[in-house]
Amino acid sequence: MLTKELVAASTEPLILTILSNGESYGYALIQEVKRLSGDKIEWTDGMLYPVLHRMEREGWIASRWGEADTGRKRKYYSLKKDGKKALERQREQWLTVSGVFKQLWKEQYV
Amino acid sequence: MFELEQSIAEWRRQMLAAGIKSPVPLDELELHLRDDIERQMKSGRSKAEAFEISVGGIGPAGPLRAEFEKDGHLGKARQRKWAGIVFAAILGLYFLAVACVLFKNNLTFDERLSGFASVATMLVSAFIAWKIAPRFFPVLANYAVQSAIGIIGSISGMGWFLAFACLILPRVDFTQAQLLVMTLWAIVPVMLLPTISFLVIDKSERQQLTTGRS
Repeated sequence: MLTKELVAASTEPLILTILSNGESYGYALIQEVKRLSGDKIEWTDGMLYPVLHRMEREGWIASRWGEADTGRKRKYYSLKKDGKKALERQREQWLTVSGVFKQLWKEQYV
Repeated sequence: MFELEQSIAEWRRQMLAAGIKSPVPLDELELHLRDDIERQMKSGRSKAEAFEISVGGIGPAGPLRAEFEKDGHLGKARQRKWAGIVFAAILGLYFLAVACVLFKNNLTFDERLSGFASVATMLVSAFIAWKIAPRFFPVLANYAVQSAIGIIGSISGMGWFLAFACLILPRVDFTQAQLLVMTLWAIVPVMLLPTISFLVIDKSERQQLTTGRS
């Protein structure tokens, strides 16, 4: 399991990245992250929805009420232009951190 | 016999009672709950078991509400920061406009000094009202009282200026320069009274968010 702080810090870039592949809804986002992380990242609704609402207020994502195949109402989120820019910025930062770790750990463990 | 729809309706009632607002975010949470129940049932659990597990996954209403309020707190903090920047910009522009008027008009040194003193008084008072005074302001829990303070603050500033223009000015024989300087002094309460009422409301709102009252 990841620490609470790391999960919190990675939430926005993860949401932005998933939504860059197409619109999605809260429950599917949680399941997708859980699957991709091998059950190591488990977002709770209490954490995810406030973040989604904040990102919507920031103008990074948009939402619309739609209907699922089952006929159930669903709130879909999609990436906006400002969200793409935010994703680019965050991607650069995470790649920088990841690059530094790669070099440090390569030197340390080789 | 377990009734799924009845149990979901009861869960909704509990969430509403605990302060989770409808339609946002409660409707979205309910859809989330239904999705999870469906997934649990597909993996072989009974309706009752699926409901229990899914409700447990969402968690109790209290912490959930705290998360949404924390987010609201961040939004308010951002609004407060922007309000501060806009207010500072207005004061800066006001200072420049007054400086321009005072230098363009034919004023004596004393009149000009008095004009600048009015601006300085406004700036210093605004700084005191912003930085020092809030610790002495009361916390108003009642929204109606907060609104009343806001309205009174705005009206009293304008009321004072109207009284100054209609009752005081016609009774005193000012030169043009004296009139200008007096007007600058009269503007000070017009700016300060709404500012103080805004800061009283702001302190109350912040206190309510910190203590978790809605």
